[in-house]
Amino acid sequence: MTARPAGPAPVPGPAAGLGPGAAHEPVLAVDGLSLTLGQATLLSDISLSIGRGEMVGLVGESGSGKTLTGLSVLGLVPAGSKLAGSIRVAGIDMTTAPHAVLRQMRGRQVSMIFQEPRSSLNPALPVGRQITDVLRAHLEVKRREAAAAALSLLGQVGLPSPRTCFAAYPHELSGGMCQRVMIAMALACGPGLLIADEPTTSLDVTVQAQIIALLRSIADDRGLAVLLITHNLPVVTQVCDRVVTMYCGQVVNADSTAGVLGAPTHPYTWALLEAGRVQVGATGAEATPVELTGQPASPARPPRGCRFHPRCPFAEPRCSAAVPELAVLGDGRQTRCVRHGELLLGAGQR
Amino acid sequence: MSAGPIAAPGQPALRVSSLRVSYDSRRRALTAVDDLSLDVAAGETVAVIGESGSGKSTLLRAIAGLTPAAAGRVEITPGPPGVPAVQVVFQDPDLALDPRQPVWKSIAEPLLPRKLRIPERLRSAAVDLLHEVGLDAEIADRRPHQLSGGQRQRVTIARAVAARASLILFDEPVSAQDVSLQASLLRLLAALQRQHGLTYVIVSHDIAAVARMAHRVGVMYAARLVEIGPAGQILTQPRHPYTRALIDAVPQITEQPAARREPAIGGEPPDLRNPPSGCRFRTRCPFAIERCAAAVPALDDTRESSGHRVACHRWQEIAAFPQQTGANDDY
Repeated sequence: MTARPAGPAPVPGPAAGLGPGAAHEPVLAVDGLSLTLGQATLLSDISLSIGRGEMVGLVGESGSGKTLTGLSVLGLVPAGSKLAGSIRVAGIDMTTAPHAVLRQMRGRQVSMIFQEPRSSLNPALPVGRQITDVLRAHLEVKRREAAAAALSLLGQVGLPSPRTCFAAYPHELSGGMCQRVMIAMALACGPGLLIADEPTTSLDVTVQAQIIALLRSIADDRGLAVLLITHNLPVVTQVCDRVVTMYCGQVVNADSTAGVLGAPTHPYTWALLEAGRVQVGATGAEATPVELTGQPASPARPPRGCRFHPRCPFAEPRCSAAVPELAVLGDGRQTRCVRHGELLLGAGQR
Repeated sequence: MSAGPIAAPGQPALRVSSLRVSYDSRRRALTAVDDLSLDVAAGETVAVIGESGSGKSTLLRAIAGLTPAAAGRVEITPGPPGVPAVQVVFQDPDLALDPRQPVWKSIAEPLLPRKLRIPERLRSAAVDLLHEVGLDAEIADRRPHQLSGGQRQRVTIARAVAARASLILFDEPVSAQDVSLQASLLRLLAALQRQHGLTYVIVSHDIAAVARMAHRVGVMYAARLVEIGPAGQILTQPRHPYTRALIDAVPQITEQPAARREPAIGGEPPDLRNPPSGCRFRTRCPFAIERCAAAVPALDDTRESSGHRVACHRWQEIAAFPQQTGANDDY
């Protein structure tokens, strides 16, 4: 077997958009997305956008709707859901595109990786074969070319011995190696957008740091747009350019990472940040200065007014009166809090 | 919780001596816990930190008597007659509870360990336990799937407390929970410990989450204990290069925008069927020299603080290098 080392990859780059005017548009533009399933509105008026080479963190607790938002981008919504608004990937609206177009978009323009990499891989096939199959399903390539490209991809995602991995079955690889394989597979057809849903949550801490650094370098080198979905705000502040916070099916805050770290503009983002501000050296109560109490609200039965107000340490009577608008603060910063002008949510605030 | 390390007064609650646990596979035997010794005093919390495959869960199972030891001993101070000496809270609360049973029955089960049917008269005791772990009486009749992940974890804790064992072992008690819930769960564990004089051994991969409630922290790498000492010492002045890397790898919120650092260490833990010679961390260690491959480092007393021991040939030289990030970092 004389598989060529990384020749010119037989895959189109991210710029090869299917839609019109792809060059000037953000890679992903979600505008006013709502998703209703039965009586429950699980996503309400979600808007966010990601440009080339940008990493955006989508944060929130379990049940906030962040995974559903990610799945919606691929057109993978639960049967019977009603969608409103638009999701444009490289200019194509994923909410209205016919099935044939959606199938072309997935893998070619947008890929997704998940929390448990091993369960996303076929246990009965060597991983190299699985990547080869993805290439052959989407692109007009010969098996040998596809195999060579797969081998090259395994090297690009930092696997120590790509040839050994190519022939390995998923159970022979560690969780971190499986996640690298998933990233290689997601990148195989040169998508412009990668959705990474808790990609490091099941991995060891030292391997977590490696995978996060790999995603950042891929975003920088290939101009890939990355939506990093996670409950771990510390990870987001390390690699992402911007942070979008979801609570109970709504976007409640959008800001640059520097903005969030300097002075968060929404109490929920602030609380997540403070809860994650683990002082590794501190023991006892001082290790976590602020704690979020109570359970997250369910989008099926949202509280009146601001959905976060029952848990918010800064809530006033007016917070339960009306749903706050998503206020635009300039520079793309947004917050859904009626008190944003009067609260100074810096570090150490209690 | 702010109490310092408890010096072992006489008989410890748990004594693990030169424990070895092996699994036989078709190809080659694998030693998951290798010559590990650990004393835990009554009322103490010891956290054992390690990555997947480090042997920490096997250690827990061997302490509980669920996995036989190939060599060495596990001694647990027995409780009063009829009270089990040890209880385990397993990692996944979804698997630990009977899905068809209302949660009060799961909690009451250890109260009458030999009965198949849980009599109704135990309901009030179960409800008291629910209150003790911060849950409302109204969830007593729910099935596990009707609870949130955090509530399920509290139910498994209530069940562990129900048996009145004085030693409780926890496998990853908080790592499946949202960051927002972790702090309150850890505070609950600390409150139960104070109230009932419990002794805890917690194993986890997450040094940041659990170490803050421990009196002492041990670090396992590839089946061996590589460092152990008072929590404050381990977290602020770790001496083993692996412990330093673990702490460096914890995602930190710093006021600097997007600190894009290189990962603290590369590579992954070794295959235990074929571990490296000498120090097992040497294949990933930035400080490794020839001696590290030649001889297994002993777990030496650093004499820096009470009971601080480290298994590294070069720990004294390495101590001079600054920690990359972490608690000492004050910019």
